[in-house]
Amino acid sequence: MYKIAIGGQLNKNEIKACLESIGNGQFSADIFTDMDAAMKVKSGSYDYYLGACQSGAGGALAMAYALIGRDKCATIANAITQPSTEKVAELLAGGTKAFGFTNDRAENAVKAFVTALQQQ
Amino acid sequence: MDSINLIKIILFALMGGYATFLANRSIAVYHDGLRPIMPEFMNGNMSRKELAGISFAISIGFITGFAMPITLATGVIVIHIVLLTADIIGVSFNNTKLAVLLGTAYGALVTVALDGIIKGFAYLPVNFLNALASVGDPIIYAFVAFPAIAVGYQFGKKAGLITIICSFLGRVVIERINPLTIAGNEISLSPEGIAMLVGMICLLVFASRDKSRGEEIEHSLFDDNIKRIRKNIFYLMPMAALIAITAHYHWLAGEPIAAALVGKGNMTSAAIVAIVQAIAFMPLIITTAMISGVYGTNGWCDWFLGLGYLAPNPLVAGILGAGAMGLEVKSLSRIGKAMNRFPALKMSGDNIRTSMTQILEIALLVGGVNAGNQIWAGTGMFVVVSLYILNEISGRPVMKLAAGPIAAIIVGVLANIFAVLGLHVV
Repeated sequence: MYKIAIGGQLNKNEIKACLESIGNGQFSADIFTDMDAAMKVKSGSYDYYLGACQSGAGGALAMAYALIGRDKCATIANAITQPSTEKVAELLAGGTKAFGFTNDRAENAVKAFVTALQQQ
Repeated sequence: MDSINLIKIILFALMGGYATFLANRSIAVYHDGLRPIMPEFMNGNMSRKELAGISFAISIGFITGFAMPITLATGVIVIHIVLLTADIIGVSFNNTKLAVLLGTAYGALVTVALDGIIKGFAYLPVNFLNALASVGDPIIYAFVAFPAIAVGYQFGKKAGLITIICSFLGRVVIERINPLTIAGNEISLSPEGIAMLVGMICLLVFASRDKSRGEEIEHSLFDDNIKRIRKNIFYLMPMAALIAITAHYHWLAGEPIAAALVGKGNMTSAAIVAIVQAIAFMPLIITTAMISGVYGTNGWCDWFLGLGYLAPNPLVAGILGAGAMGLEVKSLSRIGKAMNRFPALKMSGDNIRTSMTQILEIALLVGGVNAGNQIWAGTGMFVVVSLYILNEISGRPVMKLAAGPIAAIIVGVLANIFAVLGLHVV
Protein backbone atom coordinates (compact mmCIF):
# COMPACT_ATOMS: atom_id res chain seq x y z
CA MET A 1 0.00 0.00 0.00
CA TYR A 2 1.44 3.34 -1.06
CA LYS A 3 0.43 6.52 0.76
CA ILE A 4 0.33 9.58 -1.50
CA ALA A 5 0.09 13.18 -0.30
CA ILE A 6 -1.54 15.40 -2.93
CA GLY A 7 -0.21 18.96 -2.84
CA GLY A 8 0.30 21.39 -5.71
CA GLN A 9 -2.48 23.77 -6.65
CA LEU A 10 -4.85 22.42 -9.28
CA ASN A 11 -7.21 19.47 -9.89
CA LYS A 12 -6.47 17.81 -6.54
CA ASN A 13 -9.81 15.94 -6.48
CA GLU A 14 -9.17 14.60 -9.98
CA ILE A 15 -5.69 13.36 -8.98
CA LYS A 16 -7.11 11.59 -5.91
CA ALA A 17 -9.89 9.96 -7.94
CA CYS A 18 -7.37 8.83 -10.61
CA LEU A 19 -4.96 7.40 -8.04
CA GLU A 20 -7.72 5.43 -6.38
CA SER A 21 -9.31 4.09 -9.57
CA ILE A 22 -6.09 3.32 -11.48
CA GLY A 23 -4.24 2.22 -8.34
CA ASN A 24 -6.45 -0.86 -7.90
CA GLY A 25 -6.62 -0.57 -4.11
CA GLN A 26 -2.85 -0.37 -3.76
CA PHE A 27 -2.86 3.40 -3.32
CA SER A 28 -4.39 5.63 -0.69
CA ALA A 29 -4.30 9.38 -1.29
CA ASP A 30 -5.12 12.45 0.77
CA ILE A 31 -5.48 16.08 -0.24
CA PHE A 32 -3.46 18.78 1.57
CA THR A 33 -2.11 22.26 0.95
CA ASP A 34 1.23 22.11 -0.84
CA MET A 35 3.07 22.94 2.38
CA ASP A 36 1.34 20.27 4.48
CA ALA A 37 1.74 17.67 1.75
CA ALA A 38 5.47 18.38 1.48
CA MET A 39 5.88 18.22 5.28
CA LYS A 40 4.12 14.85 5.46
CA VAL A 41 6.39 13.33 2.82
CA LYS A 42 9.46 14.86 4.45
CA SER A 43 8.49 13.40 7.83
CA GLY A 44 7.86 10.00 6.25
CA SER A 45 4.18 9.68 7.18
CA TYR A 46 3.42 9.66 3.42
CA ASP A 47 5.50 7.97 0.69
CA TYR A 48 5.21 10.30 -2.28
CA TYR A 49 4.09 13.82 -3.19
CA LEU A 50 2.06 14.58 -6.33
CA GLY A 51 1.03 18.07 -7.46
CA ALA A 52 -0.37 19.85 -10.50
CA CYS A 53 -0.33 23.43 -11.74
CA GLN A 54 -0.33 25.16 -15.12
CA SER A 55 3.42 24.77 -15.64
CA GLY A 56 4.10 21.51 -13.80
CA ALA A 57 6.85 23.15 -11.77
CA GLY A 58 5.70 26.34 -10.00
CA GLY A 59 2.55 25.75 -7.99
CA ALA A 60 3.00 22.02 -8.37
CA LEU A 61 6.43 21.73 -6.77
CA ALA A 62 7.48 25.03 -5.13
CA MET A 63 6.93 23.87 -1.54
CA ALA A 64 8.36 20.43 -2.26
CA TYR A 65 11.51 22.12 -3.60
CA ALA A 66 11.84 24.09 -0.37
CA LEU A 67 10.99 21.36 2.13
CA ILE A 68 11.81 17.97 0.57
CA GLY A 69 14.77 19.21 -1.48
CA ARG A 70 15.23 20.03 -5.12
CA ASP A 71 17.11 16.82 -5.92
CA LYS A 72 14.09 14.76 -4.84
CA CYS A 73 11.60 16.64 -7.07
CA ALA A 74 10.86 16.26 -10.78
CA THR A 75 8.43 17.61 -13.37
CA ILE A 76 7.12 14.61 -15.32
CA ALA A 77 4.76 16.44 -17.72
CA ASN A 78 4.46 19.99 -18.96
CA ALA A 79 3.08 21.90 -21.93
CA ILE A 80 5.51 20.16 -24.30
CA THR A 81 6.38 16.87 -22.58
CA GLN A 82 4.05 13.89 -22.20
CA PRO A 83 4.50 11.78 -19.06
CA SER A 84 6.26 8.45 -19.62
CA THR A 85 6.35 5.36 -17.41
CA GLU A 86 10.04 4.75 -18.19
CA LYS A 87 11.02 8.26 -17.10
CA VAL A 88 9.07 7.95 -13.84
CA ALA A 89 10.61 4.51 -13.15
CA GLU A 90 14.07 6.00 -13.64
CA LEU A 91 13.26 8.86 -11.27
CA LEU A 92 11.83 6.50 -8.65
CA ALA A 93 15.00 4.41 -8.81
CA GLY A 94 17.00 7.61 -8.33
CA GLY A 95 15.09 8.46 -5.12
CA THR A 96 12.65 11.12 -6.38
CA LYS A 97 9.86 11.71 -3.87
CA ALA A 98 7.82 14.55 -5.40
CA PHE A 99 6.33 14.65 -8.89
CA GLY A 100 4.81 17.68 -10.63
CA PHE A 101 2.80 17.93 -13.85
CA THR A 102 0.42 20.27 -15.69
CA ASN A 103 -3.27 20.09 -14.80
CA ASP A 104 -4.42 19.06 -18.26
CA ARG A 105 -2.01 16.09 -18.24
CA ALA A 106 -2.99 15.00 -14.72
CA GLU A 107 -4.67 11.74 -15.70
CA ASN A 108 -1.80 10.51 -17.91
CA ALA A 109 0.78 11.60 -15.34
CA VAL A 110 -0.98 9.62 -12.60
CA LYS A 111 -1.19 6.60 -14.92
CA ALA A 112 2.56 6.75 -15.61
CA PHE A 113 3.32 7.15 -11.90
CA VAL A 114 1.10 4.26 -10.81
CA THR A 115 2.38 1.92 -13.54
CA ALA A 116 6.00 2.74 -12.73
CA LEU A 117 5.48 2.05 -9.02
CA GLN A 118 3.64 -1.21 -9.67
CA GLN A 119 6.48 -2.42 -11.90
CA GLN A 120 9.00 -1.96 -9.10
CA MET B 1 -0.58 58.18 -36.00
CA ASP B 2 -2.89 59.56 -33.33
CA SER B 3 -1.60 60.36 -29.86
CA ILE B 4 -3.51 57.60 -28.08
CA ASN B 5 -1.76 54.98 -30.17
CA LEU B 6 1.57 56.57 -29.35
CA ILE B 7 0.79 56.45 -25.62
CA LYS B 8 -0.12 52.77 -26.03
CA ILE B 9 3.17 51.96 -27.75
CA ILE B 10 5.17 53.90 -25.14
CA LEU B 11 3.39 52.21 -22.21
CA PHE B 12 3.92 48.71 -23.59
CA ALA B 13 7.55 49.51 -24.45
CA LEU B 14 8.15 50.70 -20.88
CA MET B 15 6.37 47.66 -19.48
CA GLY B 16 8.42 45.26 -21.61
CA GLY B 17 11.69 47.00 -20.81
CA TYR B 18 11.10 47.38 -17.09
CA ALA B 19 9.85 43.81 -16.61
CA THR B 20 12.95 42.60 -18.49
CA PHE B 21 15.11 44.61 -16.08
CA LEU B 22 13.39 43.01 -13.05
CA ALA B 23 13.88 39.51 -14.49
CA ASN B 24 17.50 40.21 -15.47
CA ARG B 25 18.37 41.31 -11.92
CA SER B 26 16.39 38.38 -10.39
CA ILE B 27 14.12 40.89 -8.62
CA ALA B 28 10.88 39.53 -10.07
CA VAL B 29 9.73 37.07 -12.72
CA TYR B 30 6.18 36.57 -13.99
CA HIS B 31 6.12 32.80 -14.55
CA ASP B 32 5.31 31.04 -11.27
CA GLY B 33 7.20 27.97 -12.51
CA LEU B 34 10.37 29.95 -13.13
CA ARG B 35 10.45 31.54 -9.66
CA PRO B 36 11.27 28.37 -7.64
CA ILE B 37 14.13 27.63 -10.06
CA MET B 38 15.71 31.10 -9.74
CA PRO B 39 17.73 30.28 -6.56
CA GLU B 40 19.54 27.52 -8.49
CA PHE B 41 20.72 30.15 -10.93
CA MET B 42 21.47 32.73 -8.25
CA ASN B 43 23.60 30.19 -6.31
CA GLY B 44 25.53 29.37 -9.45
CA ASN B 45 24.22 25.79 -9.73
CA MET B 46 22.56 26.53 -13.05
CA SER B 47 23.90 28.36 -16.08
CA ARG B 48 22.15 31.29 -17.71
CA LYS B 49 21.76 29.21 -20.85
CA GLU B 50 20.00 26.43 -18.97
CA LEU B 51 17.74 28.92 -17.16
CA ALA B 52 16.89 30.63 -20.45
CA GLY B 53 16.01 27.25 -21.96
CA ILE B 54 13.66 26.37 -19.09
CA SER B 55 12.09 29.82 -19.17
CA PHE B 56 11.41 29.49 -22.90
CA ALA B 57 10.07 25.93 -22.63
CA ILE B 58 7.56 26.68 -19.88
CA SER B 59 6.44 30.05 -21.28
CA ILE B 60 6.06 29.60 -25.03
CA GLY B 61 2.88 27.52 -24.76
CA PHE B 62 1.22 30.20 -22.65
CA ILE B 63 2.24 32.97 -25.05
CA THR B 64 1.24 31.32 -28.32
CA GLY B 65 -1.47 28.91 -27.22
CA PHE B 66 -3.16 30.77 -24.38
CA ALA B 67 -2.61 34.54 -24.53
CA MET B 68 -2.31 35.09 -28.29
CA PRO B 69 -5.64 33.60 -29.46
CA ILE B 70 -7.50 35.37 -26.65
CA THR B 71 -5.79 38.67 -27.51
CA LEU B 72 -6.75 38.34 -31.17
CA ALA B 73 -10.31 37.37 -30.28
CA THR B 74 -10.90 40.15 -27.74
CA GLY B 75 -8.61 42.95 -28.98
CA VAL B 76 -7.27 43.30 -25.44
CA ILE B 77 -3.62 42.32 -24.86
CA VAL B 78 -3.33 39.46 -22.37
CA ILE B 79 -0.45 40.27 -20.02
CA HIS B 80 1.43 36.97 -20.58
CA ILE B 81 2.42 38.19 -24.06
CA VAL B 82 4.48 40.99 -22.52
CA LEU B 83 5.60 39.67 -19.14
CA LEU B 84 6.51 36.08 -20.10
CA THR B 85 8.59 37.33 -23.01
CA ALA B 86 10.24 39.80 -20.62
CA ASP B 87 11.11 36.81 -18.38
CA ILE B 88 12.71 34.97 -21.29
CA ILE B 89 14.70 37.98 -22.52
CA GLY B 90 15.65 39.04 -19.00
CA VAL B 91 17.11 35.69 -17.93
CA SER B 92 18.81 35.06 -21.29
CA PHE B 93 21.40 37.87 -21.29
CA ASN B 94 24.22 38.78 -18.92
CA ASN B 95 24.27 42.33 -20.27
CA THR B 96 21.45 44.21 -18.52
CA LYS B 97 21.45 47.13 -20.98
CA LEU B 98 21.15 44.85 -23.99
CA ALA B 99 18.34 42.84 -22.33
CA VAL B 100 16.38 45.96 -21.40
CA LEU B 101 16.81 47.38 -24.90
CA LEU B 102 15.43 44.16 -26.43
CA GLY B 103 12.58 44.02 -23.91
CA THR B 104 11.61 47.62 -24.68
CA ALA B 105 11.72 47.05 -28.42
CA TYR B 106 9.64 43.89 -28.04
CA GLY B 107 6.99 45.73 -25.98
CA ALA B 108 6.63 48.41 -28.64
CA LEU B 109 6.71 46.04 -31.62
CA VAL B 110 4.26 43.49 -30.27
CA THR B 111 1.66 46.24 -29.73
CA VAL B 112 2.09 47.54 -33.27
CA ALA B 113 2.03 44.01 -34.69
CA LEU B 114 -1.11 42.92 -32.83
CA ASP B 115 -2.97 46.13 -33.73
CA GLY B 116 -1.79 45.67 -37.31
CA ILE B 117 -3.10 42.09 -37.45
CA ILE B 118 -6.45 43.18 -36.03
CA LYS B 119 -6.69 46.05 -38.59
CA GLY B 120 -5.55 43.66 -41.34
CA PHE B 121 -8.70 41.55 -40.90
CA ALA B 122 -10.67 44.24 -42.79
CA TYR B 123 -8.70 43.46 -45.97
CA LEU B 124 -9.48 39.74 -45.95
CA PRO B 125 -12.05 38.28 -48.37
CA VAL B 126 -13.84 36.90 -45.30
CA ASN B 127 -13.39 39.30 -42.37
CA PHE B 128 -13.85 37.03 -39.39
CA LEU B 129 -12.79 39.44 -36.63
CA ASN B 130 -16.28 40.05 -35.23
CA ALA B 131 -17.13 36.38 -35.39
CA LEU B 132 -13.85 35.53 -33.67
CA ALA B 133 -14.60 38.05 -30.92
CA SER B 134 -17.68 35.97 -30.04
CA VAL B 135 -15.29 33.28 -28.72
CA GLY B 136 -15.43 35.22 -25.44
CA ASP B 137 -19.24 35.49 -25.23
CA PRO B 138 -19.95 32.38 -23.11
CA ILE B 139 -17.28 33.46 -20.60
CA ILE B 140 -19.26 36.60 -19.72
CA TYR B 141 -22.10 34.51 -18.28
CA ALA B 142 -20.32 31.28 -17.36
CA PHE B 143 -17.66 32.81 -15.10
CA VAL B 144 -20.37 33.56 -12.53
CA ALA B 145 -20.29 29.86 -11.61
CA PHE B 146 -16.72 29.77 -10.30
CA PRO B 147 -17.37 30.32 -6.56
CA ALA B 148 -20.01 27.58 -6.61
CA ILE B 149 -17.69 25.13 -8.41
CA ALA B 150 -14.88 25.95 -5.97
CA VAL B 151 -17.27 25.32 -3.04
CA GLY B 152 -18.29 22.01 -4.64
CA TYR B 153 -14.66 20.92 -4.87
CA GLN B 154 -13.78 21.92 -1.34
CA PHE B 155 -16.93 21.27 0.69
CA GLY B 156 -18.84 18.67 -1.36
CA LYS B 157 -21.65 18.61 -3.87
CA LYS B 158 -24.41 19.65 -1.44
CA ALA B 159 -22.58 22.86 -0.49
CA GLY B 160 -21.87 23.43 -4.19
CA LEU B 161 -25.54 23.13 -5.09
CA ILE B 162 -26.55 25.52 -2.28
CA THR B 163 -24.07 28.07 -3.65
CA ILE B 164 -25.35 27.66 -7.22
CA ILE B 165 -28.91 28.25 -5.98
CA CYS B 166 -27.87 31.38 -4.02
CA SER B 167 -25.97 32.79 -7.04
CA PHE B 168 -28.92 31.95 -9.31
CA LEU B 169 -31.42 33.71 -7.02
CA GLY B 170 -29.09 36.72 -6.70
CA ARG B 171 -28.91 36.98 -10.47
CA VAL B 172 -32.65 36.59 -11.05
CA VAL B 173 -33.60 39.13 -8.36
CA ILE B 174 -31.16 41.77 -9.63
CA GLU B 175 -32.32 41.29 -13.21
CA ARG B 176 -35.92 41.73 -12.08
CA ILE B 177 -35.40 44.89 -9.98
CA ASN B 178 -33.01 46.64 -12.44
CA PRO B 179 -32.81 49.59 -13.01
CA LEU B 180 -32.72 50.96 -9.48
CA THR B 181 -33.44 54.58 -8.70
CA ILE B 182 -31.12 55.87 -6.01
CA ALA B 183 -31.29 59.58 -5.11
CA GLY B 184 -32.96 60.36 -8.43
CA ASN B 185 -30.32 58.52 -10.48
CA GLU B 186 -31.14 55.40 -12.45
CA ILE B 187 -28.47 52.74 -12.07
CA SER B 188 -28.30 49.18 -13.29
CA LEU B 189 -26.41 46.67 -11.16
CA SER B 190 -24.56 43.93 -13.01
CA PRO B 191 -26.49 40.65 -12.47
CA GLU B 192 -23.25 38.73 -13.14
CA GLY B 193 -21.33 40.78 -10.60
CA ILE B 194 -23.97 40.29 -7.90
CA ALA B 195 -24.33 36.56 -8.57
CA MET B 196 -20.56 36.15 -8.28
CA LEU B 197 -20.45 38.24 -5.12
CA VAL B 198 -23.17 36.07 -3.53
CA GLY B 199 -21.16 32.98 -4.50
CA MET B 200 -17.97 34.41 -3.01
CA ILE B 201 -19.80 35.17 0.25
CA CYS B 202 -20.99 31.53 0.38
CA LEU B 203 -17.40 30.38 -0.22
CA LEU B 204 -16.09 32.55 2.62
CA VAL B 205 -18.85 31.34 4.99
CA PHE B 206 -18.07 27.68 4.24
CA ALA B 207 -14.31 28.29 4.51
CA SER B 208 -14.61 30.07 7.86
CA ARG B 209 -16.43 27.06 9.31
CA ASP B 210 -13.46 24.82 8.51
CA LYS B 211 -11.35 24.92 11.67
CA SER B 212 -8.50 22.66 10.58
CA ARG B 213 -4.94 23.82 11.27
CA GLY B 214 -1.78 23.30 9.24
CA GLU B 215 1.51 21.69 10.14
CA GLU B 216 3.89 23.80 12.20
CA ILE B 217 6.91 24.72 10.15
CA GLU B 218 9.99 26.73 10.91
CA HIS B 219 9.04 30.08 9.35
CA SER B 220 12.55 31.47 9.81
CA LEU B 221 13.47 29.20 6.88
CA PHE B 222 12.25 32.02 4.65
CA ASP B 223 13.59 35.08 6.51
CA ASP B 224 16.50 35.84 4.17
CA ASN B 225 14.30 35.57 1.08
CA ILE B 226 11.64 37.86 2.55
CA LYS B 227 14.36 40.40 3.41
CA ARG B 228 15.64 40.30 -0.16
CA ILE B 229 12.18 41.05 -1.54
CA ARG B 230 11.60 43.89 0.95
CA LYS B 231 14.90 45.45 -0.08
CA ASN B 232 13.63 45.55 -3.68
CA ILE B 233 10.32 47.23 -2.86
CA PHE B 234 11.15 50.47 -4.70
CA TYR B 235 12.10 48.54 -7.81
CA LEU B 236 8.82 46.67 -7.71
CA MET B 237 6.39 49.56 -7.23
CA PRO B 238 6.93 51.25 -10.65
CA MET B 239 6.10 47.92 -12.36
CA ALA B 240 2.70 47.83 -10.68
CA ALA B 241 2.09 51.50 -11.58
CA LEU B 242 2.82 50.77 -15.26
CA ILE B 243 0.47 47.78 -15.25
CA ALA B 244 -2.35 49.74 -13.58
CA ILE B 245 -2.00 52.71 -15.96
CA THR B 246 -2.05 50.49 -19.07
CA ALA B 247 -5.08 48.64 -17.70
CA HIS B 248 -6.81 51.99 -17.05
CA TYR B 249 -6.79 52.61 -20.82
CA HIS B 250 -8.52 49.19 -21.33
CA TRP B 251 -5.49 47.86 -23.24
CA LEU B 252 -4.47 45.08 -20.87
CA ALA B 253 -6.03 42.05 -19.15
CA GLY B 254 -4.55 39.43 -16.83
CA GLU B 255 -6.34 36.37 -18.22
CA PRO B 256 -9.10 35.38 -20.67
CA ILE B 257 -12.10 36.09 -18.44
CA ALA B 258 -11.14 39.71 -17.81
CA ALA B 259 -10.04 40.10 -21.45
CA ALA B 260 -13.48 39.06 -22.67
CA LEU B 261 -15.16 41.41 -20.19
CA VAL B 262 -12.89 44.37 -21.03
CA GLY B 263 -13.42 43.66 -24.74
CA LYS B 264 -17.18 44.05 -24.21
CA GLY B 265 -16.71 47.16 -22.03
CA ASN B 266 -18.00 45.38 -18.93
CA MET B 267 -15.51 47.13 -16.63
CA THR B 268 -17.04 46.55 -13.19
CA SER B 269 -17.24 42.79 -13.77
CA ALA B 270 -13.70 42.81 -15.18
CA ALA B 271 -12.45 44.59 -12.06
CA ILE B 272 -14.22 42.10 -9.76
CA VAL B 273 -12.71 39.18 -11.70
CA ALA B 274 -9.25 40.76 -11.55
CA ILE B 275 -9.47 41.27 -7.81
CA VAL B 276 -10.77 37.73 -7.15
CA GLN B 277 -7.92 36.47 -9.31
CA ALA B 278 -5.56 38.01 -6.74
CA ILE B 279 -7.20 35.97 -3.96
CA ALA B 280 -6.82 32.84 -6.07
CA PHE B 281 -3.17 33.38 -6.96
CA MET B 282 -1.99 34.95 -3.69
CA PRO B 283 -1.03 31.61 -2.08
CA LEU B 284 0.98 30.56 -5.13
CA ILE B 285 2.80 33.88 -5.47
CA ILE B 286 3.57 34.14 -1.76
CA THR B 287 4.78 30.54 -1.54
CA THR B 288 7.05 30.75 -4.58
CA ALA B 289 8.34 34.21 -3.50
CA MET B 290 9.17 33.01 0.03
CA ILE B 291 11.15 30.00 -1.15
CA SER B 292 13.06 31.96 -3.82
CA GLY B 293 13.49 35.58 -2.73
CA VAL B 294 12.25 36.56 -6.19
CA TYR B 295 8.89 38.34 -6.39
CA GLY B 296 6.09 38.24 -8.99
CA THR B 297 6.23 40.88 -11.72
CA ASN B 298 2.43 41.23 -11.53
CA GLY B 299 2.28 40.78 -7.72
CA TRP B 300 -0.53 38.54 -6.50
CA CYS B 301 -1.83 38.75 -10.09
CA ASP B 302 -4.30 41.06 -11.71
CA TRP B 303 -5.59 43.24 -8.87
CA PHE B 304 -3.28 46.06 -10.07
CA LEU B 305 -5.22 45.81 -13.33
CA GLY B 306 -8.53 45.79 -11.44
CA LEU B 307 -7.52 49.00 -9.64
CA GLY B 308 -6.57 50.48 -13.02
CA TYR B 309 -10.00 49.59 -14.48
CA LEU B 310 -11.74 51.37 -11.58
CA ALA B 311 -9.44 54.41 -11.29
CA PRO B 312 -10.86 57.75 -12.53
CA ASN B 313 -7.66 58.77 -14.37
CA PRO B 314 -4.19 57.39 -15.28
CA LEU B 315 -2.45 59.24 -12.43
CA VAL B 316 -4.71 57.73 -9.76
CA ALA B 317 -4.34 54.32 -11.48
CA GLY B 318 -0.57 54.56 -11.19
CA ILE B 319 -0.65 55.61 -7.53
CA LEU B 320 -3.12 52.83 -6.63
CA GLY B 321 -1.02 50.24 -8.47
CA ALA B 322 2.22 51.26 -6.80
CA GLY B 323 0.51 51.46 -3.40
CA ALA B 324 -0.96 47.97 -3.85
CA MET B 325 2.48 46.53 -4.66
CA GLY B 326 3.94 48.26 -1.60
CA LEU B 327 1.21 46.75 0.56
CA GLU B 328 1.88 43.27 -0.84
CA VAL B 329 5.58 43.40 -0.11
CA LYS B 330 5.12 44.89 3.38
CA SER B 331 2.59 42.22 4.36
CA LEU B 332 4.42 39.28 2.72
CA SER B 333 5.72 37.72 5.91
CA ARG B 334 2.50 38.15 7.90
CA ILE B 335 0.23 36.75 5.19
CA GLY B 336 2.64 33.88 4.54
CA LYS B 337 2.41 32.84 8.20
CA ALA B 338 -1.37 33.24 8.37
CA MET B 339 -1.84 31.21 5.22
CA ASN B 340 0.01 28.21 6.62
CA ARG B 341 -1.92 28.38 9.85
CA PHE B 342 -5.31 28.31 8.09
CA PRO B 343 -5.10 25.73 5.29
CA ALA B 344 -8.80 26.17 4.41
CA LEU B 345 -8.00 29.65 3.06
CA LYS B 346 -5.15 28.35 0.95
CA MET B 347 -7.28 25.45 -0.29
CA SER B 348 -9.95 27.96 -1.36
CA GLY B 349 -7.36 29.72 -3.51
CA ASP B 350 -6.38 26.40 -5.11
CA ASN B 351 -10.01 25.46 -5.71
CA ILE B 352 -10.89 28.85 -7.22
CA ARG B 353 -8.08 28.32 -9.71
CA THR B 354 -9.21 24.78 -10.54
CA SER B 355 -12.79 25.94 -11.09
CA MET B 356 -11.79 28.98 -13.16
CA THR B 357 -9.70 26.73 -15.41
CA GLN B 358 -12.55 24.27 -15.88
CA ILE B 359 -15.08 27.01 -16.62
CA LEU B 360 -12.69 28.49 -19.18
CA GLU B 361 -12.17 25.08 -20.81
CA ILE B 362 -15.91 24.70 -21.36
CA ALA B 363 -16.71 28.35 -22.13
CA LEU B 364 -13.90 28.67 -24.67
CA LEU B 365 -14.90 25.40 -26.36
CA VAL B 366 -18.53 26.57 -26.67
CA GLY B 367 -17.25 29.99 -27.80
CA GLY B 368 -14.95 28.37 -30.34
CA VAL B 369 -17.76 26.23 -31.76
CA ASN B 370 -20.08 29.27 -32.00
CA ALA B 371 -17.40 31.44 -33.59
CA GLY B 372 -16.50 28.70 -36.08
CA ASN B 373 -20.15 28.43 -37.04
CA GLN B 374 -20.49 32.20 -37.47
CA ILE B 375 -17.41 32.34 -39.68
CA TRP B 376 -18.52 29.48 -41.92
CA ALA B 377 -22.04 28.26 -41.15
CA GLY B 378 -22.20 24.52 -40.58
CA THR B 379 -18.71 23.73 -41.89
CA GLY B 380 -17.15 25.78 -39.08
CA MET B 381 -18.96 23.83 -36.39
CA PHE B 382 -17.88 20.53 -37.91
CA VAL B 383 -14.25 21.64 -38.18
CA VAL B 384 -13.99 23.03 -34.62
CA VAL B 385 -15.57 19.96 -33.00
CA SER B 386 -13.40 17.53 -34.98
CA LEU B 387 -10.16 19.45 -34.39
CA TYR B 388 -10.95 19.71 -30.67
CA ILE B 389 -11.41 15.96 -30.29
CA LEU B 390 -8.39 15.20 -32.50
CA ASN B 391 -6.33 17.34 -30.10
CA GLU B 392 -7.65 15.29 -27.18
CA ILE B 393 -6.82 11.98 -28.92
CA SER B 394 -3.27 13.09 -29.67
CA GLY B 395 -2.59 13.84 -25.99
CA ARG B 396 -3.27 17.60 -26.16
CA PRO B 397 -0.36 19.13 -28.06
CA VAL B 398 -2.46 22.32 -27.78
CA MET B 399 -3.60 23.32 -24.26
CA LYS B 400 -7.23 22.30 -23.68
CA LEU B 401 -8.13 25.96 -22.98
CA ALA B 402 -6.79 27.19 -26.29
CA ALA B 403 -8.00 24.36 -28.53
CA GLY B 404 -11.45 25.91 -29.25
CA PRO B 405 -10.22 29.44 -30.08
CA ILE B 406 -7.33 28.11 -32.22
CA ALA B 407 -9.72 25.83 -34.11
CA ALA B 408 -11.95 28.88 -34.78
CA ILE B 409 -8.93 30.80 -36.12
CA ILE B 410 -8.17 27.82 -38.40
CA VAL B 411 -11.77 27.92 -39.68
CA GLY B 412 -11.26 31.62 -40.46
CA VAL B 413 -8.05 30.92 -42.37
CA LEU B 414 -9.69 28.04 -44.28
CA ALA B 415 -12.73 30.20 -45.12
CA ASN B 416 -10.42 32.79 -46.64
CA ILE B 417 -8.35 30.28 -48.62
CA PHE B 418 -11.46 28.63 -50.03
CA ALA B 419 -13.08 32.01 -50.76
CA VAL B 420 -10.02 32.95 -52.84
CA LEU B 421 -10.22 29.58 -54.63
CA GLY B 422 -13.89 30.25 -55.32
CA LEU B 423 -14.96 27.17 -53.35
CA HIS B 424 -16.60 29.13 -50.54
CA VAL B 425 -19.08 31.79 -51.59
CA VAL B 426 -19.54 34.51 -48.97
